[in-house]
Amino acid sequence: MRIPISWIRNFVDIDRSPEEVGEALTMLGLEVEGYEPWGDGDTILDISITPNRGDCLSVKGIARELSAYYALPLRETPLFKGEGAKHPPNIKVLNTKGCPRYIGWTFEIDINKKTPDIIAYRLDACGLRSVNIVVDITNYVLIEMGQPLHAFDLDKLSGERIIVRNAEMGESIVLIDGREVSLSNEDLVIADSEKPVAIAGIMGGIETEVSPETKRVLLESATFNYRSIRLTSKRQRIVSPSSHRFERMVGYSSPDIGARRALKLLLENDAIRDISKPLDTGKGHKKQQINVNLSDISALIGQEPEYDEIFKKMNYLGLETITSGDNAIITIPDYRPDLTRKADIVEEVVRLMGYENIESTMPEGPFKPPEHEELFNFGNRLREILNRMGLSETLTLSFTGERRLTSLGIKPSETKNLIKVKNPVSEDMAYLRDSLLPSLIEAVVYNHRRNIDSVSLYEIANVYYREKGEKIEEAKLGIVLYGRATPRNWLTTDEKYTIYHLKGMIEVLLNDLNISEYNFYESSHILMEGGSCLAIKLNDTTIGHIGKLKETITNTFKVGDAIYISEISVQPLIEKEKKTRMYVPPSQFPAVFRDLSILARNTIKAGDIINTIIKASNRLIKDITLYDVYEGREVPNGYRSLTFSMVFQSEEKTLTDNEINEIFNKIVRELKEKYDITLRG
Amino acid sequence: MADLKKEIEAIKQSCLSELTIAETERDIKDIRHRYLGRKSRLNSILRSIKDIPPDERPLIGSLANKVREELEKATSESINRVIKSSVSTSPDLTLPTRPYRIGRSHIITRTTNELVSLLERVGFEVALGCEIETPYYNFEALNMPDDHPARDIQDTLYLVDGTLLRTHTSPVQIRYMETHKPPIRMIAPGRVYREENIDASHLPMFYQLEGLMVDKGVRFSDLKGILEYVAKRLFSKDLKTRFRPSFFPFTEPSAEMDVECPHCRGRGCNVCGYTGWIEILGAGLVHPYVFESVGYDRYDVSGFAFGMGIERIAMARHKIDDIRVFYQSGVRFLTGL
Repeated sequence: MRIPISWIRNFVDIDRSPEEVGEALTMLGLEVEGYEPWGDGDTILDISITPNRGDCLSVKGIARELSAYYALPLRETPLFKGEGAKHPPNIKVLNTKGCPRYIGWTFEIDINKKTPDIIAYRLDACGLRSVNIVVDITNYVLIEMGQPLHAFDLDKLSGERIIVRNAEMGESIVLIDGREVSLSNEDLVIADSEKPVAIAGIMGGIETEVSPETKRVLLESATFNYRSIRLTSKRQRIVSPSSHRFERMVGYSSPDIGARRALKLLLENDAIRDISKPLDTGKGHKKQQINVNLSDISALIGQEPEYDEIFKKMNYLGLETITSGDNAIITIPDYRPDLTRKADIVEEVVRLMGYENIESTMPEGPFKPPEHEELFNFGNRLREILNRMGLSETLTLSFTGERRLTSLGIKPSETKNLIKVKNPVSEDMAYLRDSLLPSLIEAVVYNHRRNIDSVSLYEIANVYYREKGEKIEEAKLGIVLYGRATPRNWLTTDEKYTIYHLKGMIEVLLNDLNISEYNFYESSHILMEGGSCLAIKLNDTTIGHIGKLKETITNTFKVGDAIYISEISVQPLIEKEKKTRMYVPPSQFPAVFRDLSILARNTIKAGDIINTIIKASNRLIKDITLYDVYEGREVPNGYRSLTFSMVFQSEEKTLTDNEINEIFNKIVRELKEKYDITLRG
Repeated sequence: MADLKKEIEAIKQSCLSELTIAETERDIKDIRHRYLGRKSRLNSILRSIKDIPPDERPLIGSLANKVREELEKATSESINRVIKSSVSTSPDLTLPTRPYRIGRSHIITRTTNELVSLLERVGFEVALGCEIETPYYNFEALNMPDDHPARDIQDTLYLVDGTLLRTHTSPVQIRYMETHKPPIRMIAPGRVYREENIDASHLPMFYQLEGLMVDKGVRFSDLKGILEYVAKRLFSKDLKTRFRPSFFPFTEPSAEMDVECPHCRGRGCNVCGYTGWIEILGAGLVHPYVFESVGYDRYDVSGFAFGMGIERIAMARHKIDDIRVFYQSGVRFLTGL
């Protein structure tokens, strides 16, 4: 809310700079977000008002806060006292719950009277242009006193009467901004004897608005139920300065004050005559009282306030206080509906003490050692392992969309387990994602377009899907590798990422978690190239996949190099992780190194050969490294040569040459039998 | 012909002995010129090989070639030897070094972990809750009925079945209190969602960290103490902090906390929007309504709660001026902070 400080000074004599006043308001909870120099030495304060403080959506409300802060009196606002001679307008409220109080006055107007400069200046400062004297003064009172007013052209009100009722189905209204709105029977309207002439508390109709021809006016000053206003405002998507205030509750006494303030200003400018008696439908209001125990309040704050001083400030705010011993009864003015219970009084006390004056303490009493939810700890455990391998963490938005999935060859209509967002921000974020992989593939495209030649990222986040009617949130780990495996430099090679890099990382990850019961099986996946896809299994359960992104997809993104992806469920890893690794003492006996170079048909899996070697070695093999794989001119077509270095070592004795030869021969024999290999060189 | 053979052997020995005592690259090049150059004896033997009787030609030829190869190798080894021993030709240490790729956690993760490690020291433990929530946990239990204007501040993303994506981490307060008895010291980091269009300061998803403490006799001054401790450790001990009134439906009294802008020290700059302060969190004493929601006796216990936006804190600390960079997967951003 924008208010020129000169207007505030009209209510309270503060001789402080705008910045000091702004600081005071901020520390009262009315945050000043900006200062704008205005006119001749004036400053506009841009004040952010929290939803509980409808009373501060007015110059008077702001001034009241400052009067308490500085202990300065709040100046009386001149009002029209008394009433006119004419009979009051014909007003009937049919829904008194929706409209607890409606006050109407009528008068004759000289619509061509000029709006006084001071009012035009202040409206301009608040961002409102001058229309005519009636509209200007109703707007002025809205900002000054916080009371929304509406002026009807009395001659255009059919039957010269007002009925406050719910709209009937099929009724509609053209508003002053030209919009035509169809009404429902939940909308409260102001009607004349024929039809709605305003949506109550929100906006008036164009037909009955005050025009340059207007001779007689009916001035409406009312309160409406905040809930009813809010629901209609939301349903009809209309927000106005009036609805904004009514939603935040306008006090019972406000309509009377607001109307009398407007009448006073109109009279001062000699714009009206022949004022009527008011018609007031209000039934009276009982002020709320809150009983508090001062020791309780002090205990909750953590220190003892100077209650005498606090109560004095409360009185400036219009709160009446009666104390007896350790107890106090606080009477709440009707413009402070936010104060309903003890906790609200505690806030009022702390606010008036000044939050900055509360001495900080640390909580007393022992606490139990904190135990974090396991998923939190485990996520960090995964990050630590992945970071060590040079992968960096990315985080991406939890959404996906039709176009994004289609570009990956996935039809959302066929993945009926996706969870749809009812009011998505955009079509690309219309679903909750059921996989991290699309975002990781997009990460490659994003970086490739920025000339990054290497992407090695992972994300740990939830995916979302429907299973047997339940909505599931499941933590997943996704990894993507693309491009150069080492940074480009005169010392490094041009090594590119391969499926072996990714599979190797998964092995390191599982080994680091001390999970040994894993295996890889050839598999298939909607995003992965057939024949370049493995399922990761723990015992017999698939926990994820590794593979090469389908070339057709890679080609559409024009990123050049192959993209390797993996996605793994986190929960099974948590269950199988073994926290403690056991010490294995090194063998006391020497290790023997032997190389083995074989020629095998290239259809025979290296993994099978290695497993055969390990099995044939009677547990004496300690390490086996495949250090050369060759296929080409030197070997027959359809064959490849594989060269291993092996380490043999016993825990019990020094292995003799004979023993090693025996094992070596057994290995070769079995390989020959099983895979028809031949020895090389 | 034995003479020729002997001569070749002699050339070899003489050359090798000269090489062993040579000290400079120039000396060695001179030796090479004399023994292996165009006018050298060895070269003339090789050139006149056709004059040798055919039966001895292969023997002499192969011997001469072998010696020439040996001497070529020996001279280049000698050159390497003197280069290595000479100071003037030490390696160029200004050559760019071998680059290493260091993996990093996301700045949001690192900021969250920093906050968690500060708060676990004073007894707060992590709970995660769930991202898909019901209106009850997200709003009603937190004193935000449907007709409350405060709901407008948090435009909600709904799912088609009437559930929603949590708009804040506060529902974790409710879930945690429903399953735990006081004393409670809990923190809940995680993703939250709003119906916001994407621009430099808005995203439909971001991270928050919630805190909750409930016990007998928890005071407003404790809230201030805990939050000052966190803010000062997170930013800097000599930066001022400011606690001021605010409004949240689920706390009363409510507060917001500002930290003096670390970049301009309160003078005002573009990071703090020229206010000198950076707002880092909202907090307050737990509203009695919330205790009633979870069946706690509000006369027996009191508590405080706080919530902060992780991006906002990371942006203030690292001078990030566009919230979108957090979730674009730019490798330079992810590895550069």
